[in-house]
Amino acid sequence: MKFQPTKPDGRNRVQLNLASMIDVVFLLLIFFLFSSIITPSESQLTPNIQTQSVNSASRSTDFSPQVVSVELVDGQPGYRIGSRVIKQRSELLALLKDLPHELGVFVRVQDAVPIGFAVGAIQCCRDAGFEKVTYVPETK
Amino acid sequence: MRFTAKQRVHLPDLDLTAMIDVIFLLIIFFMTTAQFVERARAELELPKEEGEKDVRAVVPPLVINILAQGTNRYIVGEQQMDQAAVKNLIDREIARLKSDGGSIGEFEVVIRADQRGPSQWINDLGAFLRERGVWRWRLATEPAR
Repeated sequence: MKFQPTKPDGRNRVQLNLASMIDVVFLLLIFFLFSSIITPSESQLTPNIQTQSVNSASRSTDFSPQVVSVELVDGQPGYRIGSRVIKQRSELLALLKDLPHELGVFVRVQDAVPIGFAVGAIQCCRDAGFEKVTYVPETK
Repeated sequence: MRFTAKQRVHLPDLDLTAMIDVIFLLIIFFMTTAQFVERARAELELPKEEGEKDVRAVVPPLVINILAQGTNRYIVGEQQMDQAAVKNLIDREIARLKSDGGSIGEFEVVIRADQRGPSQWINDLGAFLRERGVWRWRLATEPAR
């Protein structure tokens, strides 16, 4: 009669090697961690939309807010403040920084201009230090 | 001469059950959250801008995605719709907010617009929101890495 060798505690133990499974599990964990980080983060800009109250308030003062128009100039998107036409964004930012900030700024965008330029103009106003940035939807 | 049986080195027993449970839970968490992120965001090219430093959401806002082109260019949730439908939806959301005792000033809307589309899309929506008394909105941007 042949006896199986027994462990000191008297029970047969099945040994299960978990090393490879843990390797795979960790690889999966790292994969999902990285893939979730790759999802781009988003930020937001919060301009006001022009309302009737803004109009009436602006009428009551002698000064009116600056208006940045984003429009197509010679087929290319550009910016206009008063009669001055600006093609470069850095130039717009420098000009906006020199303007008085108290009354805020209006951003008016032509329908044909790509949305990226409209949002870029709002970002420029924010970067220049304007707290009151109002988007003026073009009315037909 | 007496040969002894080859002695085995017994490693101390390590109970890995709890660790494996935790790891599987983490995997399931990251799998599901990654899918939720994809579902909440329509695939479009946002304007590459830094945005604002402090953006606080008071209530879960209405997120309107606008594709660069197409008649049914608006996506809310997972539903693609045209301009009339999105305006109806805004009206319904405003009515729901008011029926819950809220004011129009609390209406939160985030517009995620493809930067390649014409500004007409956001001009139309902005004019409509203005008509409804909404004076504040948010435009989603994607900060450069």
